[in-house]
Amino acid sequence: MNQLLVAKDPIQEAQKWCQDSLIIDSSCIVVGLGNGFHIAELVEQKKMMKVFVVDHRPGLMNMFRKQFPELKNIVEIIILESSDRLLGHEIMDQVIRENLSALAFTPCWPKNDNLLATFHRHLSGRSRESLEMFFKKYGIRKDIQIKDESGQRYLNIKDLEILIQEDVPSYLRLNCFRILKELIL
Amino acid sequence: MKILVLSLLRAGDIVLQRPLFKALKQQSPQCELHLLVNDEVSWISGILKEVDHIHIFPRKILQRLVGEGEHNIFRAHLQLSGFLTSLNEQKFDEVINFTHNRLSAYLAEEVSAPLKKGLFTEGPRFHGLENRWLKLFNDRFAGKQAFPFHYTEILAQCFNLKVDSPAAPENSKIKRIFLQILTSDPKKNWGLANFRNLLNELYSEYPYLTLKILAAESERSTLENYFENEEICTWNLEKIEMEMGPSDLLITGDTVTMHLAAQNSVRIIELALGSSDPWKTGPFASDHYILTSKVACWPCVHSKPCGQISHLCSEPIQPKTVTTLIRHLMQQSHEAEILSSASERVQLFKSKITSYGYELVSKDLVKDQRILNKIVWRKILDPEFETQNLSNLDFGIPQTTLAEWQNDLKEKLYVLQSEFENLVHKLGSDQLSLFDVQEARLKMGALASNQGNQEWIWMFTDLAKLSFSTPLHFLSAFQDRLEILKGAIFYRDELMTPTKRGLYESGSGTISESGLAET
Repeated sequence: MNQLLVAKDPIQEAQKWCQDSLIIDSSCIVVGLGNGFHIAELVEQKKMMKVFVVDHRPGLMNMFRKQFPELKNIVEIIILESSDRLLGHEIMDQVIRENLSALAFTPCWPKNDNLLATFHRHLSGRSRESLEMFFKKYGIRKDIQIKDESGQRYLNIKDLEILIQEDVPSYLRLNCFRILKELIL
Repeated sequence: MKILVLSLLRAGDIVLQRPLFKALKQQSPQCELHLLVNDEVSWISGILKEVDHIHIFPRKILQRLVGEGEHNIFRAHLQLSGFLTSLNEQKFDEVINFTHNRLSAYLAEEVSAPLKKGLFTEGPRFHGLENRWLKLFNDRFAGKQAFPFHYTEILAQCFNLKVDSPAAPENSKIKRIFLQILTSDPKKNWGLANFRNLLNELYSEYPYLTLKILAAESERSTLENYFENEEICTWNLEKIEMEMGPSDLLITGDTVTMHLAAQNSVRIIELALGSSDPWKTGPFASDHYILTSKVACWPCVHSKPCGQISHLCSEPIQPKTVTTLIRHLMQQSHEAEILSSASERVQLFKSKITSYGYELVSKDLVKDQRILNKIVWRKILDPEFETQNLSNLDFGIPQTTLAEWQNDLKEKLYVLQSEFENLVHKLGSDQLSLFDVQEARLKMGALASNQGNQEWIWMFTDLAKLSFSTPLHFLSAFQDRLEILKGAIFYRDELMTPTKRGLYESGSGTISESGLAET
């Protein structure tokens, strides 16, 4: 059975999730539509101008549209059946172009459903495939060989720093990656 | 002229740096002083009146952007680049790094300025450690080994700044007593019950005094089981600075409030518990009292929780210990009487700032050996440092003991010098192998030291543990330490030998190894 949410109080859960989320821009992506309370809360609390929601469960879209018709112009729902489709989708280009943050609303992710997690890794630029796209944007010519047997790991700054020690364009300050690396354990 | 100081540290450290900010302003009165601090401590901005502009490093946001899977890695880069671009719009003339860690060194590289002081990088290379004071600070300050310099004074030496210590508290009547109960680190806390009992004793002994608990508003719920609401006073730092003065006494283990109070000539009793080391970070002013205990684990390492079954360093300090000290202060007892009032298991110090710097005195009034080491270090790193007026200092070290220490150090110097020359010879004849270096390091690591020579032998046991990219780097560090060791032997001899001290007192000449050279 698909899990829409687990909390007893979905509105309270949505509020807490929104409070804890770091939003810098007026648009972002959310992976996981669920029953949509978190999306409505996000628009309300963070004054979002545009929210893209990515999921693979088409049935949820109609439910959301009926429940929140006022969000029609703000929330764009993208239903994709595979990660390959995502990598070729226009939303991926937009993520690369605008550096959009990709939030994960994991309470609505079905158990053992790796597809939403894969979507999230791609959209947050922390998969090998999406990192290659970012590299292309920044003009970094580098073969990406990252040790990730499972193919499920979120890449981090340490992976990136190793990769871009050579061939990095001068405008992309390499030293900034050293600074960022110092900020995490 | 615009100067940017990097101070990406905890709030207490930044308050301790205030005399340095003042010194920078005194040195260049026309300068515009900018300060970069972490967002976590932006709340102290209000008291930093010496600083013209405060820039906030968005550390928490960057940490989240880089550490959380929800943001692409380039997003943090973009945010940081944007921050640095806006910082560089200031067009600084000078960057001074008071922080001294890798993060700040990398940041100093990114700030454009014709002059950079302190630690900074240039690509893969670190600069700054050629400053020998900075090197000493780098090698020693964070370690557990006794260190002879206070944080403020070693930084002042590193950046050649002349700092003024705040006025000592006046000998006036105490009218109010403030108790700062909670600190940011549980192992530095004396305990709510202890403070409650202390407060009760003070109420009964001094009913005419105003007694208050200093706390942050967020701490009120923690305190309410032990203290009445009206006993709690939630002043922010600006208010503390404005309200508190020489007729107040503060009892505290919290660094921010303590240093701020010391700068406003408030009398202080510091309860130095856990990792608090008053030799390094005590109140940087004269005539404050520090209570701690004689337990082997004190002071402990900053970043780890207390590893003992109970809070050993706080247990010997009872409310009665503090009330006895307060009674002496109220009666304006003589310093010697106050210092000898502590019980066997408790250590009581008084802070002083003299011509040779910060020190803590204890009941026998004999100078701690750290002071001797401090003076010797100052002579080594700054031969112009005047020591003629220090000839009367009593370090309580018998001449025979000193002679033993000096002989031991000279023997070790001979052995180490021979080892060094042997390695250099092998290097010259292209026969130096990694095995030779390793063997030399093993010998260094095994060097034993008596109590008097720990300060100097430590340099070599530490060298044995460090890693070097080439044998040449190792030899360079070895040579540097040998020079310091020679200086230590020479200057300690100069300071401690009575005949030579006598000659200095009469001003009749200078001492050479072979005898007196008339001038």
